[in-house]
Amino acid sequence: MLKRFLARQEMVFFTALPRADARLGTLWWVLVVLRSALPAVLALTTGAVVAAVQDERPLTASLTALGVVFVLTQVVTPLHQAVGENLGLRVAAWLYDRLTDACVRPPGIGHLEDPELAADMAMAREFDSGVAGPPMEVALPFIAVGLVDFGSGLGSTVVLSGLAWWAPLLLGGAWFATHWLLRESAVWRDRNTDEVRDASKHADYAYRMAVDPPSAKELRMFGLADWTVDRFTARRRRLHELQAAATRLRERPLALSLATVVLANLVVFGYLGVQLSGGDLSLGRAVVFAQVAVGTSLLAFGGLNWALDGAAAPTAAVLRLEAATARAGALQRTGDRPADGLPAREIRFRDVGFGYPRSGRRVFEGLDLTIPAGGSLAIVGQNGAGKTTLAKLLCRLYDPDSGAIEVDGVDLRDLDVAAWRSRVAAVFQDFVRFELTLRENVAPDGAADDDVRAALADAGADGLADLDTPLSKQYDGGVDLSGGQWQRVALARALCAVRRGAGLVLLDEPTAQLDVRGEAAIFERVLAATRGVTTVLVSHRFSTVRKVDRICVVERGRVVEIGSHDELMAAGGRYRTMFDLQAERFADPTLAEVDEEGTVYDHLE
Amino acid sequence: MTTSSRAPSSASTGAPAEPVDELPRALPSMWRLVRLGYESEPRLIVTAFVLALLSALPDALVALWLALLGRGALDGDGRMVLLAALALGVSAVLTWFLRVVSTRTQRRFRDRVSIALERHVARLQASVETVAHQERPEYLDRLSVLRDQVFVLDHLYMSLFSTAGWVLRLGATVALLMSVDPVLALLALFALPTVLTSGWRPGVERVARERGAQAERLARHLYAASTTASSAKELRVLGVGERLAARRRASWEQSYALVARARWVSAVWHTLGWTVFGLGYVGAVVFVASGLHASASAVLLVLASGGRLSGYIGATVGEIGFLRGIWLDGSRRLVWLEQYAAAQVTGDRPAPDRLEQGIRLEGVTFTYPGASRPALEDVDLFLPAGAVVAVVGENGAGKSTLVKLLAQMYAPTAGRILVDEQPLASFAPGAWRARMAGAFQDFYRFELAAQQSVGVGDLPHLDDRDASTAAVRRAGADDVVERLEAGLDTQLGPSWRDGVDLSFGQWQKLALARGFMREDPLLLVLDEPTAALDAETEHALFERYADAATTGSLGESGRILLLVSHRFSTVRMADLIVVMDGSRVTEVGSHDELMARAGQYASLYETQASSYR
Repeated sequence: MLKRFLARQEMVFFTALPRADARLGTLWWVLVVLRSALPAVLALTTGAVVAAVQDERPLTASLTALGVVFVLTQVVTPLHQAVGENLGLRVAAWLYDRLTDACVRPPGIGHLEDPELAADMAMAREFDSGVAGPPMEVALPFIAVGLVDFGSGLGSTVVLSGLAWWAPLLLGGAWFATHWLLRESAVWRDRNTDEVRDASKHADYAYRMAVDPPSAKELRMFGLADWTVDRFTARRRRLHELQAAATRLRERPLALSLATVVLANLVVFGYLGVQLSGGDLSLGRAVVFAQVAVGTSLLAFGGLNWALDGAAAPTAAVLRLEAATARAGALQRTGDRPADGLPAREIRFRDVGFGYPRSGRRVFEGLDLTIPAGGSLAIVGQNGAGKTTLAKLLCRLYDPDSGAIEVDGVDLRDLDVAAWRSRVAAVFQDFVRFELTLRENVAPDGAADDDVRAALADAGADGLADLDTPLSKQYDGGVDLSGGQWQRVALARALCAVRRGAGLVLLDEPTAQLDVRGEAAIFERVLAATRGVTTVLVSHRFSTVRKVDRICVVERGRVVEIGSHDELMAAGGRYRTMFDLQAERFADPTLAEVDEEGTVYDHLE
Repeated sequence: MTTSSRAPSSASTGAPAEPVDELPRALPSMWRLVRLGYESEPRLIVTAFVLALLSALPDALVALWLALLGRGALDGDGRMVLLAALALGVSAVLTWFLRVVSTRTQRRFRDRVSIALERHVARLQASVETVAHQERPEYLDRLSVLRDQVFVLDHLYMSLFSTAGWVLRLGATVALLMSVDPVLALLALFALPTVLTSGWRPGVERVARERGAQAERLARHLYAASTTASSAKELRVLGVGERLAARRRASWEQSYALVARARWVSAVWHTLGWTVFGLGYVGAVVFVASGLHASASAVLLVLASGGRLSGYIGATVGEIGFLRGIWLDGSRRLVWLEQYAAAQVTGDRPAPDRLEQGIRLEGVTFTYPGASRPALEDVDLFLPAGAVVAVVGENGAGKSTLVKLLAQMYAPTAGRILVDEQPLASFAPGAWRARMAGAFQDFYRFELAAQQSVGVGDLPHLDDRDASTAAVRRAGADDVVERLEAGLDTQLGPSWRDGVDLSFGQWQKLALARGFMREDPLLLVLDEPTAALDAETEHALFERYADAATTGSLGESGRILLLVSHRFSTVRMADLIVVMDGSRVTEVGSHDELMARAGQYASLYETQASSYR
């Protein structure tokens, strides 16, 4: 029972506060209690002043007390606001930390590509963006208002017991009952149904389509303005109807609530009036009870409000994800064998089978491939043939479902993951563009400036910017790079790792964003810089592919051809077909003429 | 801070950027929004406003009932005591009841009016025929609030209602105080320091936030880099995941320290302001009790209403602060957008049925608004009807700009574009574009069912299975559709229920298919269509175009195919090749002509061709 109570998302949220910041969290609660007590105390001091005036006694003591309590009442509110806002920021930061950790820590990347986690992940990532509810720094002061109102109501009932033992029960009970009577219309309970969520997402998406820049050109080209606006309106209206139906203020519960509180108030205030006019109650005491009787109504206003809902749900979601990401991002096993000097002989895929978790599609089935150490190998194949997946397996971002990948005869799974990855340098098609300095982009884990400069030169990116220049104009002194320039920086990152001893280089479409002049030149340089290091190149540009030692063609999850460019051309199989298709449009008599004129391309042969 | 980070860019481009027109004035904008609200929900807006005013009163009158309670007791008037006591009870009940009803009415009004407002904003933005407001940074900044936070608009109503309610309470309370002695109105003056501090606080906080903006931006960037799938691969290979997580936190702490400190300091000043009011309040009670020797009931009135006065003043000032600081701003942006949309002048003639001669550019120069260098300079060019035209050139040479001008998404800064000797600007953009088709380099990923994602390319055939299947085939995207579990009914986009993600190349093929939906366009534009296509698809695609061009099937309506590419293997098949360099056209001719000329084209072509030999 206690466990179930603690597992409620509100409790998860409240217990997260002190974990995010012990000092602010405690102070926030202390101020909640203080603010709750103050209205009742203020009523008591007011009564004391009135009594003193009536009895013509000196006012000093009662007025001093009133002044102190009044000033305290005033100042504690803005202070609490500041505490709440800062605490909110820190709670958000703590959750960001937890989520970052949950994403970064698992050794694999299954948790980030798992379709079933995608929705949770997307929601958790956006938890403080104001989409699901207000951001934490806005939510916490709102939550405080609900708690303080309720607490003040409780404080008032305590003082009201001085009028009659039954008064707080009757009046407090009546005000509290309104929560229960109006529960149906207060919150939208079914807002998390698929229907509601779909309507809401579709409405948002249609709105984005109408107003965001990425769709602007096609929106105009295809005349979609009215279509998308109508689509948006229809979905928003549907959403509104669902919400209005769910939270309609039903007449009967409202009438019942009204009758209850009217009755309770008439009884208590009538009793107070009778007692006062009958002389059984002094004016000073009557003033106190009248004020707390009014104050009791705060029980109806306060409580756990909508802001708590908006803050607690994402908090719980973020914390829930930790277990899920750890599971989905785990590797089959983590060995502890060192990886120094690997690969010295070869990397071997032995009957490897693999499919992405829960995708239902096999990428590899019985893949056999040997990559000799020290040479270069290119992998070609159609889109979706698994070229990038092969690179991911080599980085051990996933483990194969069947078969094994062996490095110098050792199963990759028996190696220490970090040790193996420190042997790998990789450039992926969607490489990271860190908004950090050029130095940190080339060597995120630190390296000597000489290595950084040399790597940049190898990648044809020397003179790009000073090493301390942030690579984004959004930072002071920063510069923006073009797509091609970024690609050189990404290449330099891998080449820097090679300089520092990496033994395997993975290049996944490394020159896709370079222009005509850049592509050929850069690839030459990269091959030179990685000479002697095992290099695996994924590409569909045959002009680059042909320059490597060996080429393998992957189709339907298997290697269908392997050999050097010349061998494969001679064999006349799939490779030959694909190469000829690309080359055909260049094999033209005009070339010969220009050739004779002696233009500048010989050095590339 | 943001301005200083932008300073280098404008300095490096030389001439200062032309200033953006100012936002409209605040009060007329607010009034415009009120009228918009009244037009869309006349009954609800009036009801909500009246309820907001009514619900303000019972609470303010509590002080009066307390005073009457006291006077009745002092005078020994039993009836007055009883009535005052019951009035207190009724006040409490009404405060609650009116608030419950008013909150719900307001919510209903807000929900309904926000749909109308969002629709209005979306329609305004989507129907501006040019795209400057979607590409120029100053306009993007200005509109980002309307894009991302339309709720600032409907909050304006709530804020207005609340302000009216607080002012009413304040007036009633001051009147009660003055009924004891007019001098007591001066108590309001003691609230002045709190008014000043609460007006000053948001500014202090904003400055602190701006000072911490870069650190916060970096924290956000590192957070995104740490939690997305695409960067996850590299983070693991590099082994820098935990390092980045720590760096994120450190960067965040940097911005937090600035904001938190500003908040503490301003909260202390605010607290001092309230202390001043507290002293004034005590002074007022002393004045009434000892100075005026007033009765206990008068003291009670001062105690009760004076205590409320501070809260009312604080709330009024705070609400007006919100109104001025946040909510009014939204209405000014909306009115600006309305004026901007209304100021766009376009032609209204119908588009031609077919091209007889072609499209001619005469001395066309174009400079992006706010840019200092032209993107196109003095371009003279003739695109003959029925031709396959290829545009080549390095990044930034103006190729995509040329496409945008042809699609009337911008008007040339100088020179003109003629379609069969008729000015392009005289056609209604919608009508002209209805005769265009194509795919852009930075295409949009329409996350709809695959059928519609392709079908939007020709809206009348949105759900026409035959048309989309044909378009998919023309784009060579059959393999993409075949891989989809539910075929064309598959929802695209991984964040949707049962939605599937596609690779960049697959998305691009669908974008191409979308571009091929319209059966008979006069101008078909393909902006870098092959960046992510594999060899066989690319070949198939262009063989088809080469065929279509040579057999003349493109020629019936005089259709021009405009192909932007930097892949010369494709370009060479074109009838006419346009070479662009540094915003100018440097060479025009067929492949053979340009090769014979041995100029820029020939040199670029050789660079690429040689690697296949």
